[in-house]
Amino acid sequence: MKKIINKPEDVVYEMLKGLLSSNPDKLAGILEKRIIYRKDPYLNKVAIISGSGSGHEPDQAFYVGKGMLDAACAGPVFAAPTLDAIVDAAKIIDRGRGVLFLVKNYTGDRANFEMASEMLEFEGGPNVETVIINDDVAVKDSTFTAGRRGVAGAIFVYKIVGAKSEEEGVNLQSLKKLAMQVNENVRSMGFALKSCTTPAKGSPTFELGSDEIELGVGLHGEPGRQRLKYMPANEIIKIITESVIEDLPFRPFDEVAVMVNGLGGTPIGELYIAAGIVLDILKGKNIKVFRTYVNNFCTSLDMEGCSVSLLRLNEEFKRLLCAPVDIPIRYF
Amino acid sequence: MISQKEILIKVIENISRNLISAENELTELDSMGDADCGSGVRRGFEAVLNILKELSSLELGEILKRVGFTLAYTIGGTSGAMLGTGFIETGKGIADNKEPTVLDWINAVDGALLVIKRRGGNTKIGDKTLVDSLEPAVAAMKSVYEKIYEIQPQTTIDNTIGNNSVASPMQILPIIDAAYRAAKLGSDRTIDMIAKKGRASYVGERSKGNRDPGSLIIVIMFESALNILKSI
Repeated sequence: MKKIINKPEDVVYEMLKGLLSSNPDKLAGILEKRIIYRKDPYLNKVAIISGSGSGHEPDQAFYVGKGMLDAACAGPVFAAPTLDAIVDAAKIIDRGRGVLFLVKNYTGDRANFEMASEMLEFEGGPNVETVIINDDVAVKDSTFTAGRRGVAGAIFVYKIVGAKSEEEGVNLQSLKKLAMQVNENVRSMGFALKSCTTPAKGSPTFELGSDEIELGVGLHGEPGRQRLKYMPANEIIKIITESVIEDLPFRPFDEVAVMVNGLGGTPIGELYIAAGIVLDILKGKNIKVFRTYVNNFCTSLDMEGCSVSLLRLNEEFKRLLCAPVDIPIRYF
Repeated sequence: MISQKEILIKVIENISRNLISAENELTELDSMGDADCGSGVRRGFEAVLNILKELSSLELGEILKRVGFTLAYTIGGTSGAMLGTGFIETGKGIADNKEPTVLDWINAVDGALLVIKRRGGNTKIGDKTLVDSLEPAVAAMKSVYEKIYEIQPQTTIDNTIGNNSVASPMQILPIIDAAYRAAKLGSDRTIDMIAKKGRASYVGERSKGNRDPGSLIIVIMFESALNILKSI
């Protein structure tokens, strides 16, 4: 296994150290606890935290900044962040208006965020509300999840809720409601062409034949709906796009935001091939596209493949999606 | 007569000391996982010993919650979360009650078990976790309780009648004894199981032949409680 790492157990620490060094004016952190938070002073705002295992970068530490997340807790690779980090992060970023936890649906993440919320309540700490994100239509229950998994659609939740939180006089309850609304209107599904390799294991997380596709793969390599024989882009992208459309369902004359999300190991050019196919399908169904986002938003280390997310929009979602952000992940 | 609060604090102290002493054994058993079970547990219960003095100013429910949050915060990870949950939820079950009955205690621990199972992603017996000790222990407590109070409803143990009496050491002792024995049997059964949860579950067959450390923690807890009750 060749990776740009030193010791596998130091991967997360060193990654976050690099992130902080690259953004000294915008980000602060407690590296021992794997916490990253906004350095800019912001007042009178509900604080937004997310967290999950590492290995999904840029999710989440790289979305910390004005207009998106206020803090992120990074767990070990593919393992949940621990309760003490979440509790500490909440205390650091609370400004007296309460804290919103945005949590993707995985057992470990839910358990730790739930306990952190209880501990903060027990200690008379900041008010906390939690929203669970579960946009993946692939499978009903999964290896590490009861119910649907939370995947790339979460990024839409962070963006919209983060933008709203910057507005005057927005309270914790209304942000919670907004987060739930976004979650209810977003659907995603992905597939893998090739498994990821974690630093700790040093070999592929799961077996996938050279002529096989894992349809509906999870972000940690969890099984999806089925194994398919390798097929060209037009066919596989059609399968996942239609699965997503059917699930909500998205109807003619709905207006959507599209996210074509690379899982980490796929060239950007291929993501654009996929995007073209998705947009043709949507056009054919009279589904109006407001904006298309193509990039690596929520990955699985070096997994090859992509996911497609559709978010059904209203005027407020559109406005908040377009609101400015100041986050470490940017081209210029 | 010694109060329930004083007994509880003695039990917590004994549990802490015994688990700290078990560090090496737990570490060895955790070699399929991260091998951090022993050190984590030691760290957690050392923190509990540090707050022992504060606990005497709290009531029963708060004592348990305080211990639970201390464990969850200090141990971290899933084991910290599950052990912490056990104490926190038992504390919630007792709530403001200053004189819980034996049944109140059993129900509180039962409630804690349910939350542990849910939080762990619907953990079941056979997944090779602390549930493999705790669930049989709770079932044994209930079954012994029924035998003592329902088959002989007028039983006077220590001059108290039936199941409305405030729990006393004499009453609770057979319950905890049954729990300890059942926990021990449950833990023994984990030796041949293949782990289905936690890091050990990533190694499949190789997790066989090794007792689950979480299940041993539960055994040590009930044993520690039993020894205190016997000494009163």
